[in-house]
Amino acid sequence: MGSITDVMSLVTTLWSMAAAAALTLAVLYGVVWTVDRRNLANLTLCVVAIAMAFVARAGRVTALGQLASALAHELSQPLGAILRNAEAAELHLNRPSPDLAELREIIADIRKDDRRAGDVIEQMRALIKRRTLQMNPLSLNELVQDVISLVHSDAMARHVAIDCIVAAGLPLVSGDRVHLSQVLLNLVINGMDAIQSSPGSARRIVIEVRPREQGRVEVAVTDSGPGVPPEVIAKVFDPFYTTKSGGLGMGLPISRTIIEAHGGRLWVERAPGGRGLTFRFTLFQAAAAFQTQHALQAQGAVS
Amino acid sequence: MNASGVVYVVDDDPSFRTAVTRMLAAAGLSVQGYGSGDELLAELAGEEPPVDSGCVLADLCMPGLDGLQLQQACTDAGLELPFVFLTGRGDVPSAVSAMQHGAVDFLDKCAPQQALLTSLERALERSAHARASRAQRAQLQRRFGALTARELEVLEQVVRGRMNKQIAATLDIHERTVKLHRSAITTKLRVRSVAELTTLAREAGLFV
Repeated sequence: MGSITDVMSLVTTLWSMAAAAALTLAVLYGVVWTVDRRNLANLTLCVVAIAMAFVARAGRVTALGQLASALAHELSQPLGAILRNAEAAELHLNRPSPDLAELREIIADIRKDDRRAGDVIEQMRALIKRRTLQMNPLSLNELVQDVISLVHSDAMARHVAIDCIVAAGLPLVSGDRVHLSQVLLNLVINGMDAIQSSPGSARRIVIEVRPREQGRVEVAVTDSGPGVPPEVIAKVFDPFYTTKSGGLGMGLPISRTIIEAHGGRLWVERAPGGRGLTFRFTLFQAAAAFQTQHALQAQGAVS
Repeated sequence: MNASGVVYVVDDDPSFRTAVTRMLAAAGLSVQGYGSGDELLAELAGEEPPVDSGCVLADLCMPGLDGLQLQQACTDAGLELPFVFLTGRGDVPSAVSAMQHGAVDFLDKCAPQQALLTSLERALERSAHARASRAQRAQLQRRFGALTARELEVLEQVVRGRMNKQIAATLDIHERTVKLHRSAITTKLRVRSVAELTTLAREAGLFV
């Protein structure tokens, strides 16, 4: 829906960033000798407001509302730096003989942080852009192997063993490969973070895939970590809830949104017989026609 | 700005750290920047004489020691430095916890310049005040240090409001000896009355 208007609001977002940044630079170059500090604060508000408007229009208030806040958070570092640099420049300019070398350095840094803020917006834009699901029949076995090879070197470096148990004769599921890889990758990386403090021999992630009733397939990711208190478990899917310093608290809410968009469920429980956590999600198997072809392929009858 | 002392800026983001350090220096403060809490602790641990004034301006959210943990680590290391926290996202529980642990303020990274400068000035004033009262107490304790063990025993009795006769009985000495000790105490401490003596002892944190 409204893809043209969506693109337009993105253009507006980017343009307003560029305009406000240009204004800051103009100010520093001496067009106006006092910096209007409020412009920067307004800029943040403006970006958030536009992102929110964009969200409301797209009708995905929760998911994209989270993005808007994440955007504001990510932008606070470069915007804060731009603001402090502008203030420093102003203080220098108030002196009888301003230090021009220092002022040039300040301006260079403002440009750098402006680019950084632009990059953040660009990343968010990319994230928003790829929101339509491209559903295809796919093999969870292959998906799991792909994700394991992605994290392989990281797992080696962190001394984590990843075990994979895939039931034989698993049907194809219907899903978006890129999005589902993101979900699985996120769960595996969360698991590795959770067992960071465990002794080397006990660092283990188990990925288990098995068919369930009513045409569902379930994927479970279990970590051998020390576990977490119930009040933390209750909050893991809350947006911006994170136990990692520097974490955004976006991984699990986004993962849940993706799985729900597939018609499935994503939930967490205590690992059976362990202290760590098990994250489980379900997907639906693909239409019967694809299954036959898949089975034949598996037997080598179709190339 | 009349408060003195170094502002220790701790932020893992190099460009924000440079910018805020630059602005504070231009505003006339003496500033030092650090990329992590560990860096700051390592630097302060090696200082001789120990750092006893200044304040910390720290990012609340950092890899490694976060702002609150750094505040605790400073307290544990005996560094009495007031903290002002900066954050990119308003976080009420952390703010409450920070204030309970004696943070001076809790500001947004994009807070107005004047708000930031006022907070830091208040933090430096608090630090200078704490330092002055520590120094005064140390100086008083040095004065009391000139007293002998026996004189201190007599002094405690005097401060508690007891008469010479009672003191003599308690310490099992002659009343005249008590009088001698008392005159030695007043001479050494340069005080003229028992009231003055009591006040001084309380200020030095003795017999409480």
